[in-house]
Amino acid sequence: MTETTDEEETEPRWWSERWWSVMESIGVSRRLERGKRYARAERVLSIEVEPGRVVAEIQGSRYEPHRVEIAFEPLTKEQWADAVRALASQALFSAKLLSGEMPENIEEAFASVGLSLFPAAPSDLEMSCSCADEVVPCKHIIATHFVLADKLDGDPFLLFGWRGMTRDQILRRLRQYRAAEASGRIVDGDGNRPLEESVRDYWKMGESFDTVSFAVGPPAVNASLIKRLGVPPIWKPHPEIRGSLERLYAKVTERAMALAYSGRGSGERD
Amino acid sequence: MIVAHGTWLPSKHSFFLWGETESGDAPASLGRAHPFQLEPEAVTRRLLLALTDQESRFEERVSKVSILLPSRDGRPLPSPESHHERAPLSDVSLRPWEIDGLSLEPFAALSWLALLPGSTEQLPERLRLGSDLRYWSAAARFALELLARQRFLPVLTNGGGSPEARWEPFIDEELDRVEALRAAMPPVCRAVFDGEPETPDALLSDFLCSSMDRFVREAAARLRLKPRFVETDGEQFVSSLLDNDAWFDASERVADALRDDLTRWRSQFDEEESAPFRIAFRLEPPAASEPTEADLDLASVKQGLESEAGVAADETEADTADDETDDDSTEPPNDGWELRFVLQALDDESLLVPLARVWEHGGTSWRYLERRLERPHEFVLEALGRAAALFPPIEESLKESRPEACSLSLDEAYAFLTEGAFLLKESGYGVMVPTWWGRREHGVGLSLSVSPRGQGSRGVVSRLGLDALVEFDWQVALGSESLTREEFVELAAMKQPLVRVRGQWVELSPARVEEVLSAMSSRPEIPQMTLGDVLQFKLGHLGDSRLPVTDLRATGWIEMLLSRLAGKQALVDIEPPKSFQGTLRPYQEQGLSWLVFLGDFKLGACLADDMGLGKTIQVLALLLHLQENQALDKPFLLICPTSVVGNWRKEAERFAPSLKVLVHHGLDRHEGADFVREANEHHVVVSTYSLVDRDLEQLDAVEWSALVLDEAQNIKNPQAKQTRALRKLRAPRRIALTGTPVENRLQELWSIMEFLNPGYLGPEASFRRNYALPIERYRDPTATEELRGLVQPFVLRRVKTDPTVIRDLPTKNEMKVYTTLTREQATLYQAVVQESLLKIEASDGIGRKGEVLAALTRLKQICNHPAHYLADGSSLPERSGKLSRLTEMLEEVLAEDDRALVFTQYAEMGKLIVRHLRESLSVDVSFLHGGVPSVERERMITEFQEDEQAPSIFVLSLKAGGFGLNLTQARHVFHYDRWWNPAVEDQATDRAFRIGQTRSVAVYKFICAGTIEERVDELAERKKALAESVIHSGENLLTELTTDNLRDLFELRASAVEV
Repeated sequence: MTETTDEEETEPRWWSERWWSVMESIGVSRRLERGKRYARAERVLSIEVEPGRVVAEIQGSRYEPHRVEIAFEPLTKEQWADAVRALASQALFSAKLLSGEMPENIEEAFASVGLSLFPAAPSDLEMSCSCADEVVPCKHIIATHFVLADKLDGDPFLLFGWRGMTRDQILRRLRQYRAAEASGRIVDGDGNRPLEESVRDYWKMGESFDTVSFAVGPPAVNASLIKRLGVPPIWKPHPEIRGSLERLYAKVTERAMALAYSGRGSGERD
Repeated sequence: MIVAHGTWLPSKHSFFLWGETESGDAPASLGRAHPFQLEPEAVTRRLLLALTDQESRFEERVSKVSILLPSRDGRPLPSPESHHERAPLSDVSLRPWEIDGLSLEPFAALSWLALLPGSTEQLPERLRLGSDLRYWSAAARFALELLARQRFLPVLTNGGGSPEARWEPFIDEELDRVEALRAAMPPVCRAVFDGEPETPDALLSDFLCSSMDRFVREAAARLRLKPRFVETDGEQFVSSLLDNDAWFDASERVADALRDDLTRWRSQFDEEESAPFRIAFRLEPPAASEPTEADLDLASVKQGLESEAGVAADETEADTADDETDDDSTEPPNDGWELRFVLQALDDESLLVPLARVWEHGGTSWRYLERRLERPHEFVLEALGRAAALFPPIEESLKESRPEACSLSLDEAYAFLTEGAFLLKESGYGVMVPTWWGRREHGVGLSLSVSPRGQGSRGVVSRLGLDALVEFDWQVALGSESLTREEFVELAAMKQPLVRVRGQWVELSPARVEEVLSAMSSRPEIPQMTLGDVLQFKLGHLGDSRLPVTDLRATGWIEMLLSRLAGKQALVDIEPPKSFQGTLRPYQEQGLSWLVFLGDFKLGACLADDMGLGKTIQVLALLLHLQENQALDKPFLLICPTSVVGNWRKEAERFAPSLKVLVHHGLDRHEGADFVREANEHHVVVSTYSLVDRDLEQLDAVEWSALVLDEAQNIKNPQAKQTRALRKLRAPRRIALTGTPVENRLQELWSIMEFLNPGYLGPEASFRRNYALPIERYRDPTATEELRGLVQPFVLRRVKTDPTVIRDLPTKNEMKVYTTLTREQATLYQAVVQESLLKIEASDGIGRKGEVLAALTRLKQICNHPAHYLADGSSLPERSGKLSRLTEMLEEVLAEDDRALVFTQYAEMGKLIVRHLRESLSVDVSFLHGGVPSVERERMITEFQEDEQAPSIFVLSLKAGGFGLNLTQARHVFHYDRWWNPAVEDQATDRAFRIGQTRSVAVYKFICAGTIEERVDELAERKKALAESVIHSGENLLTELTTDNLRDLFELRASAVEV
């Protein structure tokens, strides 16, 4: 991983460096003069980052602007699920993303599940332009790259959008993941005040305690989770398991209800 | 006092339970063992078995655990629940203590914790639950909810290196509560000294996971679900989920693949709404003009109704189509129901776009009102595809190229309403069902109309009671339509879950039809029900297991009664009785009207106004009102605690001198026929709870016009002898007075209501099941609401903070509280009077003056408490009328969550009061006396004013005037004994009183009736009018009296003594 030095404030951030290294590999150098010129001349009328592609309109010499499209295959749902799981493994990722930063070792997280956030090979990017120029990349494409690189420098999360998810979506999924983990096993640091600092409130229930009430009752529809999700793939060869599961869920309700409303309600003392 | 504690031990997969005993004088300890803990054997007996009444045997193990506790001087600090004097928190540090206790396995822990008593009143004597245990009890109830509502899924974990199949909670909309529980965990829960303390998150998760996993396996064990052969990975996984052993016996590769599979499977719901729209389904009934099978048959059934106007369309259609239902028909009929697919904007659910608009658009990106949908066709098709898996009838429509809706048979429509809609909604789809669905008044049931037939004309309807029978008519109602019995039976035979009655769809669920049919067959031709039943239907929950009622209409006075009880119609104002000496405050006039109203209908009333608002006065006003209207032909029987007998007598003398009051207590009370005659010659007979059971026979021999219970919390135990005895007494008017918020003490509420309106809340067992248990254990809001509706007409409770009440109250509301001497006090008192008079007679000059003052002091001490006079450190409870009364009143202060100051002249008495309150009320009490250093005094005052956790009761024994004490948090000021110097008393009172404050402070001056205290008070009142200055010399004045005058002053008067 490349490190940027703190002294050079104008120097692009790590992800910009990383992006330019991709650009170089497809022959777009940031020192390319016509690219700079084009970008600077504000010939790029619009640029939009969408899942799977970046679309830009470039004012060429003709009246009709040229349309540039840079396609980059978005991650599939399954791939995103893997990526989010990898990101959820460290609270640091959530923290950085929340504060608007692109976590530096995010590529490692993606790599750990066999994915890449950035283009791994030049061929990952498919570029086209409506101009008649035979050369690829044409100057319009190059201009688009320059503007895109600039945009990415300011908002690295556009890269997420390009790959199919916005930063907010990722954050929300991370939160959901944490919610699932709240019922599961992953630990998260917050609320973990050292006991030494809690001596004064050592026996005190938090105020939120009184807000919690319970609705111990049967579900509206039996085994609705199984009905919604279907059975896990591993049980596909065993169609009888679905019925067993439905009976099991019903039994759990029956037993939980029996326990929940058993015993003394109001105090007869013995 | 024993405090039960416990916490979850993740490393041992078990719950650790232990008991903290009185710290007493346990010596400082350098050892590691906690110095005041319960033996494990005692933990089993006194905690594990005593706190819940489960039949299951626990497999508990004795174990030893180290817990970090705040400690000082080589001792752990007692937990707050043990109510020891609070120690300042300086020099406190955490130290591990070894504790012996019990380990409960997860299943036992879940069952035991979930069933712990939900309120303190249900705990055995001298046993409290630590906050740690109350916390885990809530966590267990949460687990129980997740189980009952089936919020759990299988996962594969990596427990200790080898893969394990487990059931884990599925948290989604419950996330807020998980967070609330996590944030509420008291630090002590994490204090097991075993490496790093767990985070609240981890600890809570581990408990939920472990206990729920165990619970599911226990349930599975009863079903015999395990596959016979375990060959495939799938069978292995099932087996590991159902077995006691969670180990998943498969290769690492298989385990990893399964883990990924399960994660993906489980996260199907996490589908992100990247699109601004979602698919929504709208169920549309057949158009009204299209006849369907469902209303055709109804039409033939309902000839009578069809002739009415406004149904012409239906009628003509109905005549033409005449085919009967064919239950055997294999071809599902097209019943004309339609499930329409629309796009619904996520940010504006009212924005609905027909799918046709999407299909028209060919592009890859579709814009609609600022919202953009990428690849709209794929988006829609994919969403519909997934929806078809949740509600299969959708699938048929996907065979079209541009589906916009699917048509449903009536049964499919019903399946959509009962199940499909729920599954789709849970999975993130929009769902729109017709408004009539799920509304009770649109369902089928009985419509009752109750009329006061047979009860004669107006005016003679009084004295009914809840057990009075009223006649009613009933009809089967289908939505807003009524059916005859025959029509309904015929309709029910069709076995259609949904029918249309004149354009209006109605659910006819099989279970409901069954209920109505059985109610119909069990009802006699001219049915009757009690007035209590009518009230229950109207005020509580319409319809219950006995009668599936959807509607109840009443006419005549019953309607009037119902609307007044429900507060929809104002009560008739009752003029304050002319013979009442004094002025009723406006809220007290309302109270009077209310008491008259309920009593006229023979309905019991619970007047539960805050202490100090004048419940006594309202009852006296009722008596006078009846007297003035010649309705007091028989006496009132008033039962109260011994400590307030004197108060009733004094208050009656003062406010209602026209009433003849007979105090029936003490050894010289009337008996037998004598008593009956005496009682009938008085307007009120005042007796005590302790006598009710003993004198039941003679009390029952008198015909009473009313039975009034003061301090009705005395009958909170429904099984107690005196409670049962009181329920046997008959009287048309029944009134309970209590200053405690009854609605929060459910057992007490039931018992009081059972006395007031027998049977109204049902048998105790069903009350417990339907209300007490759901409310106390789960804080169930529905049950709470329903119970409030039922009880509200019979309970009138005004609190001091009500704006209307505040307006009526003076800011300083002074009251005298008359108490009675115990026999012991009276004996001591009389002996001291004799002895002192002899001494006084034998002395003169300064000596005589000294003797008089000494006598005064001794008598005042006896009035305070025998132990105060004897100074022998003897026991405190039940020996002083004053102290008993103070304790009762402070209990109400605490129940109202208020703060109080208690002043006494004597530091010695202050000490006794503090000791007694700590022991009998189980609360900490602050005590300020002359010996407290000023730094400490400042701390106590600041704490009382600012710290919510500080003790609510503050006892002061000093002339508080000069100290600049600011104790304005107190709303109640008690003067336990009297200075006989109004200036000093006022200065004390003013500690709690700030000029310009808007709230009212209640001031209670305690006086022992019949003693020197009452006499001097009278003297002072009389003199007050003449010259205030005389009083200032207070006690000195008394020293000038002649011995005969003194004798008159000292002598104990009759009825000063309790039994």
